[in-house]
Amino acid sequence: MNTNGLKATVQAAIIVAFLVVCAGFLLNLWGAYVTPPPNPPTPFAFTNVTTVRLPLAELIRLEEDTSGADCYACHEEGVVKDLAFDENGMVVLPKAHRDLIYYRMNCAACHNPEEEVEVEYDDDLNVIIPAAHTNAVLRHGTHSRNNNCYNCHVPDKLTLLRTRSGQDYPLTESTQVCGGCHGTTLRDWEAGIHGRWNGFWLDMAGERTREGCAACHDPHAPGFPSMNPGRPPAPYAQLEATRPQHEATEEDDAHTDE
Amino acid sequence: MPTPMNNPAPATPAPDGGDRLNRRSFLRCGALAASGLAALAASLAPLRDLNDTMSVEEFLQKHYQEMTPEEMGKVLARITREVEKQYEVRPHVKDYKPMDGVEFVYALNLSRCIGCRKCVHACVAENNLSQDPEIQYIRVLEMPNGTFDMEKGRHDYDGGTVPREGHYYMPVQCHQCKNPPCVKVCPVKATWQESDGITVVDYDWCIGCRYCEAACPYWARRFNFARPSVPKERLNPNMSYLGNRPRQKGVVEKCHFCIQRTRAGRYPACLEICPTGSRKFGNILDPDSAVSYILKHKRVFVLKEEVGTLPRFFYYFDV
Repeated sequence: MNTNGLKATVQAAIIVAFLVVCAGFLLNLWGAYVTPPPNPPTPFAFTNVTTVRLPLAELIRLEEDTSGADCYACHEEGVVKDLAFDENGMVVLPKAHRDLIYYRMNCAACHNPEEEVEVEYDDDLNVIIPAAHTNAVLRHGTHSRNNNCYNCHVPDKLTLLRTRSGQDYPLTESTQVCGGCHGTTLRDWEAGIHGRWNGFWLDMAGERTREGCAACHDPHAPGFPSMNPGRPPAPYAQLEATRPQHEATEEDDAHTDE
Repeated sequence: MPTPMNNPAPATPAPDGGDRLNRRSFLRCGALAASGLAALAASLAPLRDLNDTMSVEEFLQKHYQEMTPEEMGKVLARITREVEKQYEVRPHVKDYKPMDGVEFVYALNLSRCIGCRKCVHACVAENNLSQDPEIQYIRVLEMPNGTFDMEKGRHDYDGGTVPREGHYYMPVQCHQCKNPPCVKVCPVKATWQESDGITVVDYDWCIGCRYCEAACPYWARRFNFARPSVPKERLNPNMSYLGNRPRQKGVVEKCHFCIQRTRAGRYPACLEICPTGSRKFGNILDPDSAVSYILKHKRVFVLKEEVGTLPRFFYYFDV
């Protein structure tokens, strides 16, 4: 083959290749562009600045229903009730104390108004209460040594709290009782660096508000509750959306059981 | 005498009479010119799709620091008009100025943070951050206990509740450095440090070269690759010129300590949402402020101290 023939062949080959690529583009041979699913908007729970709990002090201040916290609806004043302990030395909590928690939680701190919550039932068709909602546990401290009602409550007058040094406080001033043992934390709280401030950092612009211990910590299980985190940044959230659903629910179940 | 060299023989037309416009050359030149114009028009065709071009007013706008209050008022009116047209919400756009005797400092308690990402999403809502493509100012790193190696951290953790056993959480956002590398590299002075310590961006002056994004050792700057999308019903109408007003495509943005809140005396959105109270904010020049107390009494460190940026964002421990 002479040089000219070779040149013509190469040119023809290039032209054919280009035409094939063009045809491919026109016919969408590589598939159409898939638009990723839109990122969901910020959930309202992430713009609601309420604290996790509604403390009793706040309920009394707002004159809301505190009937569940009325000790003497069931107990008799002046009579010391003996505590029952199980074989591990833990206090056995009466079932009646379990209901105290419902009106004390700020639902909007964790849930969205439009969120659908799946209610689960046990074999007797009783609602299974998630661990985060119940105070039917005493988890005060990593040891069980502090799980005794009368460490804080006055035995013959349950509406009073007593510090280890013998000072009595009403339920609304529980912060001072907590500080009886958690002195360094109370010092930080009084200095304004433990717990969240709301309002204004600038005094002339407005007031600063903050809550006592019980607004965030459950006195009976003061470890801060674990939470479901907000969704991760895209594209990870989008990848998560395409992942098979059963994996995620299994993990959720495992964590609710804890 | 020699004939003058600068006066050579006249450029005689080609003997075939090329000076005359004959039919052939007319058609050739005409075809060339027509195809040239067509090619030019075709190459400019994408300009027809430009719908977010800047207005003449915006094009002629001066640099933020050179604007008189009257000019600023006109600019704010223009922004109000544009936002109202685009989002059908009447915003309150203001130009908040730094206060005298105020220098903002942020402190974050690593012992308390549980990594719930509430700060991230509160920031998105407060600062009108784009949802598609997504922009978030705060990056929460999930770090294994016992290391400060950022490469071991993950910011895409998901599934199950936090905090996870054996991990601590480290939110990273703009550190508002006293020696900011991002400001040094800006070729057009579209970003600078204000007297209260906030490094701000003038979105109308930014040319989108992204030098600052590359210079930041904390990965704090974000670039608008596309026109930001904020749902109309989610738009925060309380806006500031240097803060959370809607951004354009092709400009850089970053955390500005919620300038529209903090310069009005309020706390940043990320602080107000934090359920654990890990975040502390205040005026470091005030000896009675919470941040002054933290810097005096707590074990405090800054991220990447060795790069010499002197951040105004401190991490501390409760021990």
